[in-house]
Amino acid sequence: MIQRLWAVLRKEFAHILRDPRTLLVVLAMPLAQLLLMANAVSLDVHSTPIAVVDLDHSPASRAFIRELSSSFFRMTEAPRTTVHLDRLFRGGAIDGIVVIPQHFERDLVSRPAVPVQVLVDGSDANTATLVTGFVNAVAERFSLRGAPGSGPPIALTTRLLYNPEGNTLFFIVPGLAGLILTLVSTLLTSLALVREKESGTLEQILVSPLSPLEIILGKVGPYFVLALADGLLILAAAVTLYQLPIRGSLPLLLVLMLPFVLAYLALGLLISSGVATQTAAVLVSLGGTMLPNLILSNLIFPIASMPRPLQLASLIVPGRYFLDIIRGVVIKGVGISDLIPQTVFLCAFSAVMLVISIKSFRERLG
Amino acid sequence: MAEEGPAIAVAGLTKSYVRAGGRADEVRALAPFDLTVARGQIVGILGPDGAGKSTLLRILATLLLPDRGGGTICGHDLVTGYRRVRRAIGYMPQRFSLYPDLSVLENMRFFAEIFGLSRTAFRARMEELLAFNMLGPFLDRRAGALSGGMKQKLALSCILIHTPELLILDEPTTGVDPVSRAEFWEILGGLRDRGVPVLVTTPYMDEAQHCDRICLLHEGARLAEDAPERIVASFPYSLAVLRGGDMLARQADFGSLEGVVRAVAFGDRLHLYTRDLPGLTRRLAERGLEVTAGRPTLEDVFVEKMGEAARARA
Amino acid sequence: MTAPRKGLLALVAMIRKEFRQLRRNPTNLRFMLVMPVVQVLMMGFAMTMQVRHVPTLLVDLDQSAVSRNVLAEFRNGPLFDIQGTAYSLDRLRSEFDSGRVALAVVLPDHFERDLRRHRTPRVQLVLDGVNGNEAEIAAGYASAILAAAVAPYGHPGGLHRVTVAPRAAFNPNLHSRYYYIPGMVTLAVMFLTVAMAAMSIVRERERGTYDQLMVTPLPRSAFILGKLIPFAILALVAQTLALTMAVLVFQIPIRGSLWLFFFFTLIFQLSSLGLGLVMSAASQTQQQAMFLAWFFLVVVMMLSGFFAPIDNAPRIIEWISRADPMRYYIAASREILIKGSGLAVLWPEAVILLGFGVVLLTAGTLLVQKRSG
Repeated sequence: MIQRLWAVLRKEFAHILRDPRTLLVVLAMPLAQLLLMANAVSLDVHSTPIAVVDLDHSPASRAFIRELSSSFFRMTEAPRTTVHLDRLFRGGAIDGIVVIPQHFERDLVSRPAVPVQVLVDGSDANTATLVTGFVNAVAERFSLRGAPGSGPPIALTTRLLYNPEGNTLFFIVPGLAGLILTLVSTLLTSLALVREKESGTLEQILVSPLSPLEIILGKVGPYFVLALADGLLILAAAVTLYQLPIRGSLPLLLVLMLPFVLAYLALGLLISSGVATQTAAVLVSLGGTMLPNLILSNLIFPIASMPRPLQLASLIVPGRYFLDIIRGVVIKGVGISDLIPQTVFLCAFSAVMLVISIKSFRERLG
Repeated sequence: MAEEGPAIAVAGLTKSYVRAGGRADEVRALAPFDLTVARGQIVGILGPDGAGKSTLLRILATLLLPDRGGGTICGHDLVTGYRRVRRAIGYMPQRFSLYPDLSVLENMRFFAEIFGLSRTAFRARMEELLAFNMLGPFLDRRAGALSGGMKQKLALSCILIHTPELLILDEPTTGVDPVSRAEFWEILGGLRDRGVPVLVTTPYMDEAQHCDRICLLHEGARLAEDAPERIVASFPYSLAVLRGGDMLARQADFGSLEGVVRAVAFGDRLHLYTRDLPGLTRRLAERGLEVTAGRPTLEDVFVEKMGEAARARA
Repeated sequence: MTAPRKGLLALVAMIRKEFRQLRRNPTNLRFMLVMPVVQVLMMGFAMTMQVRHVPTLLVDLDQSAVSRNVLAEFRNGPLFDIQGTAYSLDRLRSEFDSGRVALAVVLPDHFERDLRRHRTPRVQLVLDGVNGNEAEIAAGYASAILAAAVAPYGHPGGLHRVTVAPRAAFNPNLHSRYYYIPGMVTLAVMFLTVAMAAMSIVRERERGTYDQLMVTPLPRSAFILGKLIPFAILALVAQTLALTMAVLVFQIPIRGSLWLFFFFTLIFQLSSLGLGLVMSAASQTQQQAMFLAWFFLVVVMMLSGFFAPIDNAPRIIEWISRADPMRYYIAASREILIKGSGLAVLWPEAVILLGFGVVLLTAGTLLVQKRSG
């Protein structure tokens, strides 16, 4: 058994090493992806351009503007006239306009509530949501300071744990690292069996003493090494390029990466043994892993805000648990005791996937 | 393993496929089929493309399950003992099925290892195999860069590496140049002489002479099975050969000629099957056509048997 | 027959062969048509930046009637999911570490007493800052609730609050679907045209059928066109299907001209098919083609402004993104579908896309021919 397994392992390694182009793509592309994507995906409100139209020109309105610009946002030139709203956003130069009404200061004293208007470009609903959310946060903070002449009822302090500056890359980069690793792992093995099917070598292999276990493990092994190498590269890039702090234990993270990578390698093999052509394998694996991991893993979109069925579906997406782990260890610095459910799930998932791919491996043709 | 029993003893094998496109009708790939192959024989399965040769071989190699029927391969049950069958046989699929990105040596070593040969056993076996496959100078060449003939020899070497008790080869000489084909058959003859039975398919009728026994397969059913000479000898008619001209066009005209059982065009020759050769020769000579008496070949037998089978069905 | 006529016949034969092969593989075909629909539906439901159901811990160090009342306000509405109430700060950090809570509202000792005596009690919001944006927005919501809840205890005359009245152009309810669905649909098109076309060409080369075809009178251009046209048609069908679903399920308003949208899709396909050709020329095996296609797809998608407005990205990234044809296509399709813009506004995008298409297709054709020649 060991000898046969070793034979398959060595053969698979040879395939990988004999194909330097794929090797290069597999090792270099994730880095490039991380590099290009992290900045492109992150919704950094600090650099979001907004303009303020101050119709009051009072100390209070200036204080409000100071509050806005000191917290978030990049202030840009305000439009001179209130032209047609639609046309304002067409150019895409600003993402929001805050209008401070006339008599803002006077009304703050005399009225219980003074509305400040925020105009956003709704065609980009996410940025719009962010901008309104942030202006709202600033307004509330401003209100709680109390009106001029009267002290505030409470003093509110806000503390962001783990990431006091609200650096969005802290959120995006570990998430992307997990996503890229997912895709690499699945794609690596998704062709492993179907390629042999297409070239006819599987037929020859089947008529040999190799058992499904040996074939599957032999196929997983080399790609496991490759995927882990990818994981290390991605982590190293994240740390050096984005100054990601690794607050927790790096060895712990690497250990927890094992079941995660294994889960997707096994999934890839399962796909590979189920389809007839390489194109089908790619269709299924991209469709089956990219989509769930993009949207059901807390990568960008909060699962908690999604409809119930999608929330339930997200429970079986391994990426979701791995993002908990990678964000937990890297940014929060937590240890294994806080990641037990995630770890248990990943181990169970990868074990189940491996068993299914071995059990469902067809030892015959047709 | 039952040392004394036949290498292959199967009976009643049937296999049908659902036609591509998912329609309900099935294609019968193999009619109930029996086959016995004794040790030390080369048995050839001959038939045109689509006759069911590959299906039969894949069933015997345990790669396909028969719909019905069964038997033993090297003494192991075809269905339940498939693991043991796979260890005992050497099977070579029709398509080149080695790894093109591995070298000759690496391919051979890979198969040695998965069949559990020790390092020393592998080395000894290599010597033996290199003696006949002449691949010695090309050990480091990638399999993908070999010529067609060398690829087939390598494939054969890889399945011989574990010294199988039975060889099952699916069209090993298709697409190989004539010289390599002759060499290949020589190797198979040598194996037979050492007592290894060989079951081989081929679409080339002229290769039947290398077999101890042949089985003519058509539409999944056996037309005839015997030693090649005896099959040829069983041809019930005399043969008149007509040469020259567009024979395919004249096939129908001559078929309806008096005294001609059947007319078949082979390239630039027309074979006329008859019970009365002198009479036919005379009648044709009267028309100014010259025929020569010919010796029937396997092809003639095959065509005749196919016609017979068709008549029997109708 | 004249040469062009022969070429045309060969092309038709090639296209027929491709469609026949696609039909022979119903699983692939189904996947190619259904996947974009599923993608669009899932994304339409899932992609929202709205912050809701923030897992919240209420920390009441005062345990007074007022503190209870104030904290009770957090239980209303979908914004906060209350995980429990704590009466000390002991386990606060571990609740955050394990991810059970993302927000803690801490009311201090003597909260009620200080509030009544106008002594400004210090209330603290502790947030899980890993997702900084979400944390800030949640903090805003929490402040609003606190401000309203403590207002009655403020100075006589009450608390004067600045409220925010948002108004969104084009999409008053801020459905992020409007933003994502044009992009989603595009992604499906890219996927089919780039990845599948590239793999399909490499597959012929791997199997040797390419050499077979090249010794026939089939012109190379007919081979290439014959490969690309079926995928282009398939992509159009898939896109229409996905878009129709999106319109039906999410009531996406189509404000502009659908014809214009399809026109943009067609000229964008020139680029994506060209990209597919380039990748097929750069690969020897389907595996290489797949990895290349995947890499470029993800990068092209991410740089296109599909997720986040690319204008806000760092200068270098923004510059690189200008070489991304999808960027112009996404921008144009959003403008057409959501804002109802016409060619008068969008002609620069059309020109750029046509330029990309011509360059990429030419490059791809030349590379494929060079490889085989």
